[in-house]
Amino acid sequence: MAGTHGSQKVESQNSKQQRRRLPGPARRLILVTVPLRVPTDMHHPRSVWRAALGLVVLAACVAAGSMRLGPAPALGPALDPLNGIWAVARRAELPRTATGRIPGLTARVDVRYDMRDVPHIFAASEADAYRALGYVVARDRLFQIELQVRAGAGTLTELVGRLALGADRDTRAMGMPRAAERALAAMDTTSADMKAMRAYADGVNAWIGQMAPADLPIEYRLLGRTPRRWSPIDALHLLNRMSATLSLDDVERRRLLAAQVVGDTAARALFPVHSPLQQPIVPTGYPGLRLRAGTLPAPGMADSAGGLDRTASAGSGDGQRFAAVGGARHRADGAEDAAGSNNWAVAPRRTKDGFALLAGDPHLDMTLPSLWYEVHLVVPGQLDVAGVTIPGGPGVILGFTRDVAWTFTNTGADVTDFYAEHVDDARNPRRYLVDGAWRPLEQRAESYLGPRGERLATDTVRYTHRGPMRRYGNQWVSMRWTALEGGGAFGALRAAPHAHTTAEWLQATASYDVPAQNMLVADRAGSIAIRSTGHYPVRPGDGRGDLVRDGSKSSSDWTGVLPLVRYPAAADPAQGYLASDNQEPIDPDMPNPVGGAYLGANWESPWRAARINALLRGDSLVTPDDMRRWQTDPGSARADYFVPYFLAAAKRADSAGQPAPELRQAAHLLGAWDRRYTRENEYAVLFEAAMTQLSRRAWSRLSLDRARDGAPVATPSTAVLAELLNDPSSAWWNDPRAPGVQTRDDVLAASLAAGFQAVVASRGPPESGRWRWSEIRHANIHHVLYIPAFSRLGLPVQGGTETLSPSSGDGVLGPSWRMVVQLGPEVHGWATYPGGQSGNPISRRYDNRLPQWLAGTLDSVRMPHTPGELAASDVRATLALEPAR
Amino acid sequence: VRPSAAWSGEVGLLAIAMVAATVVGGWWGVLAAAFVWGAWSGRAGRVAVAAACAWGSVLVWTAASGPLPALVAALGAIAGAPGWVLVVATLVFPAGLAWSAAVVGSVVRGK
Repeated sequence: MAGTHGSQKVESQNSKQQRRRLPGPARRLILVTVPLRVPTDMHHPRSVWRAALGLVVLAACVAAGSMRLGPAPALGPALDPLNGIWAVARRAELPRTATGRIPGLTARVDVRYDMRDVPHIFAASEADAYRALGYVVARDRLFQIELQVRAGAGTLTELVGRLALGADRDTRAMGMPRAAERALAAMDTTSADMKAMRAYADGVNAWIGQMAPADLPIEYRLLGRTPRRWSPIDALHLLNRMSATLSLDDVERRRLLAAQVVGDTAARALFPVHSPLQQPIVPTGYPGLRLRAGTLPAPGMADSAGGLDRTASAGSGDGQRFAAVGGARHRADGAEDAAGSNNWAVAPRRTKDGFALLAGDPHLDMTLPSLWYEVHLVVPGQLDVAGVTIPGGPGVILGFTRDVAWTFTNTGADVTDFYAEHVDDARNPRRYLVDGAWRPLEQRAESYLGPRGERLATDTVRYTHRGPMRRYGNQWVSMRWTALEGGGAFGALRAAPHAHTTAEWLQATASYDVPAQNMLVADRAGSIAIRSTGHYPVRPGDGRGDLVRDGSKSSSDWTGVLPLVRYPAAADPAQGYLASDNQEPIDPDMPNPVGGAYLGANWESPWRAARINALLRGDSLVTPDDMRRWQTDPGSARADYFVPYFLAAAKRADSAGQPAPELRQAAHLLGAWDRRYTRENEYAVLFEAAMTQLSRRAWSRLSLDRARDGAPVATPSTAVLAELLNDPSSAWWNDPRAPGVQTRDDVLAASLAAGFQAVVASRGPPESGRWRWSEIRHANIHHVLYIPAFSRLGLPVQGGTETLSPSSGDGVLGPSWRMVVQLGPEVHGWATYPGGQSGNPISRRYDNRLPQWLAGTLDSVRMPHTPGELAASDVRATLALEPAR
Repeated sequence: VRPSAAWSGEVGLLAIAMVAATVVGGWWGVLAAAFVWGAWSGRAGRVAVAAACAWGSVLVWTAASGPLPALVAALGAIAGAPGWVLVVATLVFPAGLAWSAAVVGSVVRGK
């Protein structure tokens, strides 16, 4: 063996000598192309070790390269610098020019991205415009649209795995995928709506089919997934998802919870059908807030079945279990910081330029990428609309044409009812009883698949004629919800941009059904109008929808929906402006078109409405910039209402002698507050702490664990608290555990002092500099997968609870889109949203609008008539879409 | 020790080949190309360096084409490690893959 090894060494040396005699270039060529003899002495220990090491390393590399390591993606495709995760950086920005092909396109579509990264889509037909819209949205937001649609379809597990199983089960138990399938089956396949949905899906699929491997969004890479193809039903899943966000509210549950502690009579007053504080959407002529007559009944005895229809046989335990089920969107801590929105319009006679003005800012979950995608669609002679679309949905939801502008706030109507059902077998029901006869339950098998197609779980969802049925203890409860019977929203939203006047626009949206929206519209002729549009179920008997009804009687069923003429509505009012802020649409004590019909219960307190109405009343020369400023106005009608009560109570305590030192200091600070939630303000924190204390003390009877100051089972709105303030000796103020009898002022003074102590304990003394509002309230905009590196958290914002730009407690809700439109001879729009057009977290366009949004400023929206109208310097990128061959 | 021109030339050509292999077959392309090279030449070290250079050069191109530092930082935050670790991994992974494939290739050829 040694001899063999030696001969190889000699041969190698000879080869080297021969090569050295060759000319330079040839020698180099040989060096790289002619191999040395491969060592074959595998018995040499070094070679053996080298071979063994090579095998081990190769096996390790192949394993790491091809298999996921826990949450980490497989290294091979991930680290591949050409098409792996690094390619995300190369594809962060749009190429200056690009082309694409879409099947079904009838003519070339020109897309111009302006310097705000907004695509202006110029198409020959509406269907082509929707094809192009699907393409450009998918190009920027592919992962987001799949995630949103899967959330509505209950198939998130197929994308993100088992962790989404609970969410998917809820979605399917609510009947949302079934409803989408039924809505699709009921659609006319030749209708314009269906054509638009198909066209949009064609566009999305064209992008998926044509995108390069490097274009794959980073989320798919991290999850180790690839996009799935789209179908028309996805638009319906998305609509259902929005309906769930905006209209699925179980007012019954809060009343039940409260009834179990303080009795049904008190519970009904704490969660009333009509807001005790009125500033309705439909103008009444009453200036400012109006407190309705009445006092809160004293807390009563626990009534565990009080919220159920008396004819229902559900036992108390079952009622309790139903009430304990999650799902209410209102927070139990009393903070009214859930989603809320504003819109208002001003008639020309109250504007400086003499043109109608409209402003809107829907407050929704703020996410990255943003909930909205800004776009401009042009089909000559047919469509010319700018605004925002929900990625995944064909059409502009909020926006303007050259003639009309519109924006929505959520009505918050009660469109969900629950029925206590009588079934043949509590464990495995197959039939349910109606009017003494058994009816078969529809049973739908639901299967939940994992990312690799593996089955994670199966369920059977049962349906009565009302809707899906779920079990709470031994009680089966079915749910009827307008969203499961909808189908008119999409057509209405698609038709809206074709209107030229407010009247035409209201006619176009008449078929809109769910989720009910306060639709505000203004036109170029100076008309303004608002209508709370959507299907309002008509219930039997007293018509109320805030109780659980007896499912064994068909007489419990809805008898129809409210006719259009009875929707809350107003047009061109004498006051010259209209506004809505999620408050009760009508004042039940004033003339209104609703005529006593039940629309909902437990409405949001009208603090924002009071504020914007006061601003609008006080300015008869409104400018677009006023409208912009008001969208982030830091003033608070809530503080204006409550602060005087606190100060008066502190003053009375002072007059009575022996006030606590902290009460005196707190009153001094609160009295010095301008009642504005600006970033630098150092007093708002004290007011909020005092309000928290006040709510806790006033509603202490609603706690199940009063001995330990437990949280209330449900917290009434601050409008109800305002009503309570009007009754200084109400039994609610008195805490039986404390010595003596407490009155309103005792509780107010104690709350202010306790609030002060709480702030000092958590943030130090007032002069510490840590009382600044910017230190306390922040916007927290999470990535759709809650990846911190892709989120923007802790953003200091102006505004507080129930200001026009409310900053919610955890900062995830807020103005998701701000728009101001002036409808002059040439329409002008200004807008922004908290995020950017791109879904690529590394892109400049991912969050480039955030600074502007935080500052409360807006961009001017471009609205070119033709592609050529945008100067080259105004175009960031172009995309030419051609029919696929 | 300064690499000779021949060594550099060989590594450079191999790096180009590795980029091409990556274009064609992704990371499997690197494995395949290195295996063939190893079987043919028996020189594993050079192909390892070439593979690292190939992927490194694509990274440089990426850095010139987009916000790579931001991506490095974000991925580092997600991975709970300094971002540069991922960059190093992007160089070490193909190097290890190519070296081992070349060694195995040379062994197979030796049989």
